[in-house]
Amino acid sequence: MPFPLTPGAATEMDPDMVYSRIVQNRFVLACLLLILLYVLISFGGKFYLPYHPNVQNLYEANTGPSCNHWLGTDYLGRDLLARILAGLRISLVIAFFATLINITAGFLVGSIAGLSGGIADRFLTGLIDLFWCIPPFLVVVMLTVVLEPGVKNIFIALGMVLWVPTARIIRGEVYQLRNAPFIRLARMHGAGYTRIVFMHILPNCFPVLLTTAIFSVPDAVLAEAFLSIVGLGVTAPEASLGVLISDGLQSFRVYPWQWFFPVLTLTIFVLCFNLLGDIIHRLFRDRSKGILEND
Amino acid sequence: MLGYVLRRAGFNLGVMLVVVTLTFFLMRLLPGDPFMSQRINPDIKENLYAKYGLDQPAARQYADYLTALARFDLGESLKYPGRTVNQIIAESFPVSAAVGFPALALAAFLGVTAGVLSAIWHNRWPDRFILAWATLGLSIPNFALGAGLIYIFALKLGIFPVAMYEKPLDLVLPVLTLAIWPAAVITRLIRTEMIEVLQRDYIISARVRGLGPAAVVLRHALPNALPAAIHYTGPLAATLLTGSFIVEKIFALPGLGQYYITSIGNRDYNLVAGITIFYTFILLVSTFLTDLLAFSLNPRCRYRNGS
Amino acid sequence: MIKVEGLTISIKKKAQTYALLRDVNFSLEQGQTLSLVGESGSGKSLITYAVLGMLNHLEGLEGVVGLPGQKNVLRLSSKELRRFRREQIGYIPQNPRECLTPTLKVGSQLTEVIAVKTDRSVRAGRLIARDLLQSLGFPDPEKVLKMYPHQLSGGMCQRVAIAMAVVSRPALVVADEPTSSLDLLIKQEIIKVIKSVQTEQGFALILVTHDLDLAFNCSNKIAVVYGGRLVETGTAHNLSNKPRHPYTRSLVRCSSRTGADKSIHYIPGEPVSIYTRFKGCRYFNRCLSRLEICETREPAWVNLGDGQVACWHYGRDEST
Repeated sequence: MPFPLTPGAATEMDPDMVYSRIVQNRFVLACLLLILLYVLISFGGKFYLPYHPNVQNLYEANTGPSCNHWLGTDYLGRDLLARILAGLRISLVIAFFATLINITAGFLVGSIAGLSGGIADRFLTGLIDLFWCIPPFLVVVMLTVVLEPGVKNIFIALGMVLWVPTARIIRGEVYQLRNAPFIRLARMHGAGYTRIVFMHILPNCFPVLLTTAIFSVPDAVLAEAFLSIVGLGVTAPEASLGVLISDGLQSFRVYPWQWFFPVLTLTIFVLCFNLLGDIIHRLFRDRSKGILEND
Repeated sequence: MLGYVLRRAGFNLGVMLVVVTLTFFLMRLLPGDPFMSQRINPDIKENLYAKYGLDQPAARQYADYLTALARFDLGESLKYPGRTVNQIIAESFPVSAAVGFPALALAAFLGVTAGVLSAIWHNRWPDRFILAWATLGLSIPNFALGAGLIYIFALKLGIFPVAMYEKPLDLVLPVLTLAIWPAAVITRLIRTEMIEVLQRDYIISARVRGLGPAAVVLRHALPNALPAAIHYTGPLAATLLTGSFIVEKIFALPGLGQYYITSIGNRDYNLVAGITIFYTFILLVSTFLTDLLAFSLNPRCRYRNGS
Repeated sequence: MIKVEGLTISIKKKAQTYALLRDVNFSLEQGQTLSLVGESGSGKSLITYAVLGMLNHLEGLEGVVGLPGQKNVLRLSSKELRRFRREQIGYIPQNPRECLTPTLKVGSQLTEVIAVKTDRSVRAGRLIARDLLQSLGFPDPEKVLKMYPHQLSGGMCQRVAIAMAVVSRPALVVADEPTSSLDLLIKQEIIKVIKSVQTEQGFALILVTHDLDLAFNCSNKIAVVYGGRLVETGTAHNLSNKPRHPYTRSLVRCSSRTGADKSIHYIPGEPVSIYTRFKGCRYFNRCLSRLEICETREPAWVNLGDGQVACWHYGRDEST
């Protein structure tokens, strides 16, 4: 029979168990390792790779994967492997900082809104709702056009758009926490906002923040890829993964590897983060849900 | 109820105003002007400016724009002389919608079905299978998917045309490309909600009372799991309807998205503003509609009197 | 006659086997009421779930649950199980409002259950629903049928649940703490309603409760549950006047039926978790009259004629 009922027991959460659950789960381990691998080779790659990503060699343009160039070359003869690694580096940087802005702004706005109540809350929530209604890609496109193209401005633009759903979520959480006994106690003892936010709210919001951060990285990378395809990404000769994919799109009918390898890199990266986020999310959710049937 | 609608409408109007203002001033902050790509005589340029009212002070331009907006007049395109923005939108939006609507329907249908099935066989192989595909669908960006589909089905197998917009069959690949990601998201949403709902007391009671599994899932469980997914569908519908830029680019569809990017590059102030406003309008309307739908599904909101 | 024999549920967790329920035995005649009494976590709800056939998918399920004309409930296939639930059994849940689907009208849900249980059309079901509600004390059934669950009070919801449970004239009705979430006055009303329907239809009733007074007042037999097994069964009269098992004695003392002595009694200690493994009697740590043997060996289930008990103070085995 479908969906059976199972009496189970609520399990207590403790650090050892969290650790063992993470380590024992092969998926999580694989994802974490893969991400680590990505970061390591992209940042360390420039030291031992034979080819520089921007060096052109028109004699070898558009060659497929071979012993010389493991992943082939692009239309200017640049080694694709080197370019992908360099692109990965840039994409990672953009995604990291965009996520940082996202989490920081989202958490601050959300928690201030949730804690203060009254006019400040209404105002901030209204602001959040307002920004939530503005189509995000409009804002990003606008911002990237107004600010000059460049890595820094891209992640600023992305961060300014990504923080809105985070703030919404955080505000919801904080609003519920607001009336919790320990918060009230802290207030009664005269704790200031800063103290309450950082010592009480932050630890309690940690699971939500972690999950949001983990899901925010792939969002940022994909958004950056989108920008590149639209033509608003980093400027040549630097290239992010998005730019590589965009270039590959032009020629993929004839030289499919130029599109395939950047796409593969990107997809694996995004997949890892999504899986990781899933598992972390499930981990933290199981703890609060006990399935004790008997009474 | 009426109060809610009115307040919501008021809020939406406010948002529109902010968007219009932002777009207006942001565009004019950009370096360059609408006619920079054409090499023209400065005198002619002056005339052009005067013709489009660009020589007026910014505040005056803004006021003029707002008054025209009140008449639903979005102005003339600066890049395509003789065509009004309304015309351009009216021509290209149907193309986007022709891909967007089916994609939305497909995503909703696939998502709900897969989510429900996944929740019913939670932790058994159908669940893992569906979840795996959903996570994959979530991770593959649609530009990758679109190109991949073209490669396989159009170039190698020759079933569908590569990039055309003439017969309904041409739309299959773009619709598919557009629909996969939202389908994946909806699957996961519905799955989470359904799993939670299926553990509630009223579902257990319904089963103990001997109701059949189909009735329990469809009549008792699903309506309680839908509202969360519906809230998400609002912005999603807007995104799909107004066309994904990338999909339109890959499949060479003359939709609204294409115009948007090029018009920013062209500094075609009116067109940019017009499309922005149109898009925001669609977003607000669809969010509003879906919120109303979710609202109406919840009896607690409909009847506010207790016994 | 309803019989439960040797009901045992064990689960495996990390290569260890834990017994959630051990060797539960009791029986019940038509028209009689049996109360399952115990603290939270004692396993009484598990027993009811087992009887309702809701645990059939569990691997570690053993025993026999027998109803007249029915083979072992625990071994029914899903199709037979559904038929069993429709025709033979009724269930009155603990939290009445939670057990009605919030998105459907009460009338719609009730009619659906009636149509399914009595194998009639929906239209006929609606008429039956109306009459049934009327007989259960609703002055205006039509109005109630059109409402949503959140618009009804707890007592009203519970009556609807009762209606759903008894419409098919089942052989057995299981009520899982039907009054614990209701106010005092409503409690008594609901019990009265359940009792009157029982008299009219003649089903056997298993009443799960932690309220000993209720048990003494309403039932013919009582079964006391502790730590996943029955520690004593007997008639209500016997248990209230001469409880045998130390746990039962402590419970009786704690309940408000104590006569002269006005002090508050309680049983020190916490109920034992099912995950603790213990060789002897599970009540050992809190027992006020424990013996040496109680620590090392679990007491056997002894039949004393007018009741059963699992305690080393009674009918000690000669063979060790």
